[in-house]
Amino acid sequence: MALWAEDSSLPHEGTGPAHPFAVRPDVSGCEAGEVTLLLPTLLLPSPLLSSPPPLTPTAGHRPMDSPELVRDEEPATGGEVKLEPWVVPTAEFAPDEALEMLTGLPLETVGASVRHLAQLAEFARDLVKRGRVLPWIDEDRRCVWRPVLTGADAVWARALAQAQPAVARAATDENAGVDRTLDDLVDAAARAALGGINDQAWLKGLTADTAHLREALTAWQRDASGGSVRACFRLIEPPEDEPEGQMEPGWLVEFALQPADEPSLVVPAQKVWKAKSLPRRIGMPVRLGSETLLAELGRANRLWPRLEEALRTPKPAEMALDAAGAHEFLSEAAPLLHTAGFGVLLPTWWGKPSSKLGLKLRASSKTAPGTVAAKSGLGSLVDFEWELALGDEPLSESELRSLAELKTPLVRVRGRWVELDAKRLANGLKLLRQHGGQMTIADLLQAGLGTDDDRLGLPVLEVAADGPLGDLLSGNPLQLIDTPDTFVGELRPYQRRGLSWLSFLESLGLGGVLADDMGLGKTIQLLALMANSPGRTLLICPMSLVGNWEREAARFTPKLAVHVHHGAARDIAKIGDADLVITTYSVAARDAALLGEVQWHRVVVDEAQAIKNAATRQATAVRSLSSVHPSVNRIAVTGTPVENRLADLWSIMEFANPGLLGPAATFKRSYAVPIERHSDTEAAERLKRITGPFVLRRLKTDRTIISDLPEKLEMEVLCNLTAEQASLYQAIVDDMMDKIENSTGIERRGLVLATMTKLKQVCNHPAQLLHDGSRLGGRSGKLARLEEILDEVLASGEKALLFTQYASFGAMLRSHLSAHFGREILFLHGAVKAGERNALVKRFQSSDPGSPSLFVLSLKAGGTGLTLTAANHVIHVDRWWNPAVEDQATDRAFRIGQKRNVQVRKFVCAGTVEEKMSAMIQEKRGLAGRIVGTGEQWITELSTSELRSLFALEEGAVSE
Amino acid sequence: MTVPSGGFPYGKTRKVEGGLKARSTRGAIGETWWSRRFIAVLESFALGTRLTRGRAYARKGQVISLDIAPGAVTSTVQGSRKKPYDVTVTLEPLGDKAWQAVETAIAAEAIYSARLLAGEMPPDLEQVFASAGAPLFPRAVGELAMQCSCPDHAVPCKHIAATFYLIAEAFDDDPFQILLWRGRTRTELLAHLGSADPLWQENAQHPDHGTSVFADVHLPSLDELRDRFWVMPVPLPQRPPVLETAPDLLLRQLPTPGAALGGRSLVAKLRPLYEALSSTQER
Repeated sequence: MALWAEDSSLPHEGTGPAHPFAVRPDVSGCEAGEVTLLLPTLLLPSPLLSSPPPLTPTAGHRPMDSPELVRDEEPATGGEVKLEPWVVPTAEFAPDEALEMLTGLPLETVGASVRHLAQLAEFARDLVKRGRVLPWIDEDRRCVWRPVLTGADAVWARALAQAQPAVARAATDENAGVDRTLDDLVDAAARAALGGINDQAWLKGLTADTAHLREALTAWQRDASGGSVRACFRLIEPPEDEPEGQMEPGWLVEFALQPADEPSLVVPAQKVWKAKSLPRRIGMPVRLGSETLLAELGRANRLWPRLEEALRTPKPAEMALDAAGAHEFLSEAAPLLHTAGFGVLLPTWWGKPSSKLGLKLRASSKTAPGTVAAKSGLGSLVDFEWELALGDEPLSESELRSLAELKTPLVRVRGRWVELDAKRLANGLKLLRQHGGQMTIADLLQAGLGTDDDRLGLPVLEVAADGPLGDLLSGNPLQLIDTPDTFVGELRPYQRRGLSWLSFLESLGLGGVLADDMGLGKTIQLLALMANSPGRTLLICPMSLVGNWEREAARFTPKLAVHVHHGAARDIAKIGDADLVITTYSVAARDAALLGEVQWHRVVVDEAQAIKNAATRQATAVRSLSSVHPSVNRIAVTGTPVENRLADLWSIMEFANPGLLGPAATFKRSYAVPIERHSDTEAAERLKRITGPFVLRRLKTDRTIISDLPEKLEMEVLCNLTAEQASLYQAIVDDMMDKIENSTGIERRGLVLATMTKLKQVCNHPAQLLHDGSRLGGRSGKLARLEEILDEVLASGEKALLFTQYASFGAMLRSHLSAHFGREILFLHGAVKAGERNALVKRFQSSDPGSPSLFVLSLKAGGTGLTLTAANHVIHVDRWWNPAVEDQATDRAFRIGQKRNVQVRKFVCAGTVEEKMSAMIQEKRGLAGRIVGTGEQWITELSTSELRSLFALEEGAVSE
Repeated sequence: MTVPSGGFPYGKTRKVEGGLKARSTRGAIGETWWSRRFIAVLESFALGTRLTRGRAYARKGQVISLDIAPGAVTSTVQGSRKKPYDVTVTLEPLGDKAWQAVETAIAAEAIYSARLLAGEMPPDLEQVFASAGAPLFPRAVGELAMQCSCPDHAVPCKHIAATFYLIAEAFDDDPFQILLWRGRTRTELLAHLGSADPLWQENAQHPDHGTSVFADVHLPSLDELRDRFWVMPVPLPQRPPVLETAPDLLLRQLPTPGAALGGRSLVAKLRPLYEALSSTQER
């Protein structure tokens, strides 16, 4: 593996074959080398070019930047792009060094080709860990390990091969794919896993020469990946009219042939033996077919020894089994045969919960019916009883006893086949005899999770309760609460449902996760809750959202006393009588002890994916807040589909309902790994049943909601400044105001406009102002909020348009975001020619899963007649005060052809000129008539003192 | 000074570099039922202690070469003289009629062809041969003609006995060597069983490692990707779920390795490696 790097501080152009801005790596411990790469090169028209030499670059050629490289000047286009050879210095790594380096890479500073290699490395490690490798010998007669790619692994390998970035092939050979790389990485990974264990020992004492050994290895390993036609085994249960529970064989395993790429075609063995020809899709004559069948049966016999019995006839077609044999086939042989690549067809009831014997837990609350239940919470006690059930049908004790007397593992009960484990049955009977008892609600819910299978001996299939708890568990519709009096504005119907749900959970003393789609108004629903059930609330959110919460609270619940607890001058005593205390995650982590001493009525965690990693300081701090006062109401708010990322789910739920999902390690073992790695649907269903009552997620595409939403939802997103931005802002204001005071006329006009421009640039990003090509991450409030919003957009599989009036900032955004999200991001600006522009639009509009999801456009270019209805999000990263121009840009997405609701977000920085301008425009409608051009000309007519107040940086602008 | 065996003044046995050493170092030689049967048959001929002497020789690696052909096994064994001795063991191969009877018996139960086609030796093949009236192993010592160029007149001499043990281990490695000795290669046997198109030679059924997985991956030329040069041309989908398997599934799934690889012993040597591959990595 060879790595090379680009440096943006080096000039774009150079002479000679060496790449002008490739850096000579200074890494010790690896080999330095040089390699010639074919890279896309910009051919600039140059008067010096008299006779263009074929492959030698001249002054008019310059290699194009990779998109992750951040430069300060605008990138030039307008020339032809061709592939030309360039010489770059490289750092070379042997496979084992490469493997170590690729694991644990900081993914933000490397290009897509390195990230792709990292994926290959992870795949290699995984293959080795699962034993999907076989030994081989190289020319020097040393043992090397090669991957075995079958089934899902083959699919993934092909996906990786197709996704290889072109730059990875630019050096050696256009056709060099990932296979060699994967082989090398697998060998390195195997060696790493073996540690010091000698893997050459098996070669000792073998005297044949290398060629013969390879032949023998090939012959031996041939069966690892099957041929084009495999054997298929189908289990058939005894017919209905046979009496139950006898020991005679009534089960059949039928043999058949099945093409590997067309599993729907199954040719039974009978046909193979008797027919004159086989279906065309099998692709072989009958003779070969019958031999294939025999050979496959011989191979299957290695994994299922009992198959031998059926092979005692010359033309075996099926095998008869009794119930015990059928059970052995189902539970042991079938999984092995399946993973080895044979076809296995099992009855549909196998593995389903309805075919299992399980427990049902019935709880009843301790209060008599008719009385108002006191707030119970997870720790309150309920009476419970056990019931034994078959799927969802309860069984009586006498039925169970008769079942226990049959000694077979498979029994037909009420027309259905059931797996019976004698030990589990005994456990079940024992539990029934205990006649229930008392347990806490937390234990009740945990029992339903079924992580404690071994203790009970049977899986818990259902948890049922009466009263409000029962309503919660069964998801009965709620009583709707009216919009609270102190709430200013009207709640949409689905928001009222959300409010009612939150309130209901609080009345039961249980925590919840509000996971509505973005734009549905989670903030509003929570403010309504605070207005409905007042009490001191602590709200923890990212820095970028503090201003937003303050503003929304002032707008919708003005009677709520709000205090922001952050900043160097914060003091816990200042909380006083505030109803809503807003703080950030970092402050919460630092002040955890202090905050824990306050008696909170509720704790709300916004953008709860910030605590998805349970081990971080902020996650533990936040969880401690809920555990210190167990009666505190807890709500987590997030926009990401939390049920899809189970590790995140655990951490968030652990805050909302501590202990509900059991310890993290058990959860990972029993749920996360089986569901995510092995697609265990039973575990997924069980998890959904248990978390269902505690998670509310609605999508903007839900039928019950879509009519409540306007077609175009416009929002102003209030962002904060970082300390760096604030100090730059202040410096500009001070400096420019001095100059403005001492100037008049045209000079003064120019200075005012220049000040506006600089301030707007600082609000975007310091790097835009400073033009220093420095890194972008973490230095701008707008960028932080943008990343969070785009994260949710991408997670929902949607597309967004990003508008900015500065092409240079657009370029910066494009580089940074493409590295941050690891995807391609399109960029359109004024200098792009019509043909290329149309190509970009076409790619964005395409519904291919591979088409780009994000499109950065400069406002000028975006105004021209483009249709970009594939996007349903529009973000104006900076504002253009002429609403007509902004709307025209927004309408690229919102026009005929757009089938979904569009969400428009306009970013302004709190406490800065942007916020003030926005407010002014909204208030003084009369201004609209005077807005011409950039909409800022009228500012130059303001007096100096008016300018000063316009430009002043207000308190609360900074978030750190 | 060693006491010469059998009263002959041979002197010390010359050492052999790179000879064929019997694998087993103690106890009985031969792992599979057929090689043990072979040794048992020989032992039933009451050859007594001479056979045991050959065992030590085999373990020391005195046999330099071994060749099994239809009807005869030849080997060269290093004794105490400079020139190694030539050993020949002859057993009349089964005639065509006997083989036909065997083939008919094999065809009567699919298990035999299934195993043979899958590259293995069926478990009760000896019965099949016996029922066809064509015994797999010699029934009496007279059927075996043993010759050795050494001066020891005892039959079998140490060299012949060492050869017997190595034959047994050769049968361990590749049981089809028994069939070969009795007159048919595996290819011929399966051909006679009626295979039109010998499967185990068909490469189309079992493609070479690696080529099939990436065969249908077509990467566009670098030139076509000029404008998307640096990014993934198609995005990576989500990784499909994989079934949980025991790390040694492959070892169980594959047939017995051939003689050149060391037969069954290869699997025994590889198994601990596979267990190490899966256990030392903890995420």
